[in-house]
Amino acid sequence: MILPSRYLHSDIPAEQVVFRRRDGVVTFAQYHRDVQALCTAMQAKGIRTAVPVTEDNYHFAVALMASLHAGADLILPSNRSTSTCDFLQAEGAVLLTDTPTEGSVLIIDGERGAGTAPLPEFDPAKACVSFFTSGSTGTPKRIVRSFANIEAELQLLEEAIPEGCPTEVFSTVSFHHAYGIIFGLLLPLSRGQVTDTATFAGPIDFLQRIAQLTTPEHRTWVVTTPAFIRVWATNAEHTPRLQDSLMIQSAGSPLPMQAARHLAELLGADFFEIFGSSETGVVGYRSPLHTEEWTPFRSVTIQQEPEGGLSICSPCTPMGQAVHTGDSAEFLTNGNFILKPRTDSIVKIADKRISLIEIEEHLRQSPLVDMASVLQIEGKSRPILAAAVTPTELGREVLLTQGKQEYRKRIKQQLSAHLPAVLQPKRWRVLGELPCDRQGKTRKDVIRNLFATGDYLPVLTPVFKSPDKLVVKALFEPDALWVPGHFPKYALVPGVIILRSISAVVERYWGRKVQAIKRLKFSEEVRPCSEIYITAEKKDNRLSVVLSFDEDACHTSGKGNFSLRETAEHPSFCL
Amino acid sequence: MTETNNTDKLICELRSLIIDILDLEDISPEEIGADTPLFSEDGLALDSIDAMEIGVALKRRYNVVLDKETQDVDKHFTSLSTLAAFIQSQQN
Repeated sequence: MILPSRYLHSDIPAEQVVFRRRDGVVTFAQYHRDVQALCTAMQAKGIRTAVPVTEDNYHFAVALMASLHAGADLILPSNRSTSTCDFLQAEGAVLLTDTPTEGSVLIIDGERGAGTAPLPEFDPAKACVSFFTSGSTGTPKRIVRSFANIEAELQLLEEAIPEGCPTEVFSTVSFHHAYGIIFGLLLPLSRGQVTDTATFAGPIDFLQRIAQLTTPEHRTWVVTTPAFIRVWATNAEHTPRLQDSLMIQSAGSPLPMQAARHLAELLGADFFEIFGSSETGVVGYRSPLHTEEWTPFRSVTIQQEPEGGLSICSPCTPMGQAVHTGDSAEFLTNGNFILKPRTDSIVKIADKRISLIEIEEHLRQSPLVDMASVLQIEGKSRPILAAAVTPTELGREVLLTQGKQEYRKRIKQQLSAHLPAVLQPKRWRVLGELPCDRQGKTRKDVIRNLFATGDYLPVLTPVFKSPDKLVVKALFEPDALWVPGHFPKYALVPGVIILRSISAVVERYWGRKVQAIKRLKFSEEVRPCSEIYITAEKKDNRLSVVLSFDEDACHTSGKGNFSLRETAEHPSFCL
Repeated sequence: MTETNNTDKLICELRSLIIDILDLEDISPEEIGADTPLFSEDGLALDSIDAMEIGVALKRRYNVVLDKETQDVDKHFTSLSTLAAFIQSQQN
């Protein structure tokens, strides 16, 4: 392993391929030249704090190393919105961009390298990197770590990650997050692996890229999240079977075991799971298909706090100080541990303490429930529990044929074996997917809003997908916001809900946003409890959509033309 | 007005009362039948705190008191019909 602080001064062969891009490869010599060029430009401007804001992942890799060698601290914002960039610029930070922006330094690769000064060395203990985590509240929290903390983390990973490691690394996680930058960029760089820096139009594009580049000679490591693993499991036909060639790494929230087993069986993939956070760095690891026990990384000390929560201390934590988390664990005699429901997930309902995670687990055990998220909300006269669930195939069948009341009743009957009525959810939302952030963490704040406002998306099931055509089955039951229509008791799904569903489908599967509606005409209304097929066809930036009650579209309820734009950030793989 | 009409009217009132005080989402009055079990999983699956809130509301609205020591409360709380019968018996 060559640590990043020594990487560009090492004797790696000049022609060794270190990155793969959409249109070719980047050698060590090329990377060195590009970093050197940007570093020289940064030194000339006396930049002390840099913010990489790049469209291209390779340019991010250049900006990262150039900043470190130029002696600048790094800020990695959680989003690249104009207001965030304006705020950081006002604070004195300089943006490093690959599209011309006022006040920024432009990264240009490939051409500018000749005649620049030698690359200065840097002290990792003096370089600071600021990350932003979403936190459980959805409010970004700034975390500052020294680059020495990050290099310590890389050393722990080098010791623990299985031998015979793959040679190609793909990441669905943005490099702006600690998880993405460490596992998707710095670890492969340090281990001499090739990082794929291509950006993707959506999950299918990503899976086709993996399929194209993975061979028995090129073993693949995919750095991803539970949310993406769920999408992958429903799109597995886009990835060939890669016996012993595919390792899927997950972190951020519990691995969806059903989806993981499906991929293991279908693709011959194995899984590696990390427990840690942006604040603590890596804490433990496991092979989730083989054991529920977590093995702590060497030098990581984990202690159960008397008042609840864990205290974690390691070379990865700032100044080696303990970081307190809301996690809970049972420690085993062999030194491993089993994670228990988080202490901050425990609420008090009717004077009884109950773990929301425990209720979610009971819900997931129901054959009618795929995913579940439970939270405490204020009822009319007391705090109550509210559950957002996504249905399984069987659940969809029950919803469609017998309605939401029967669906909910059956789930409650199953819950009764574990929970008294007073501890069961009182409010329910049945959704197509649970909303989650880029790291795959469930957005409890968005779910809370669902109970406050009734925001709604139908249950979506993909039927056919190609880069240009998409057929998705949408079940407008049971939480569709409906209007009574012109006739008493004649409920209609409003057009705005149908439009939101079309937008969600396009963003979800193609990573594009609907920019404008040119024409949309309904010939037949859509009623709650009905199922329709959304057939979308894409050509350049134009989208045509047909809504039909039959898959072969012989019975059309609506037609529309839309224009599309790329999403501002990397494609969101979740709704 | 006949006794049956009075009972039907009372059941109708109780439906709306329960939906209102318990803030039952997604349930319209028509969906709670006169004999729908209030507390079992086959019916509304209400809990003990819901029962307490219904008890308080009945006291306010009909001035009837349920005393667990002297009355078979569980039987009275079985359904809207049994609740209506209990209220009528207390008012008579």
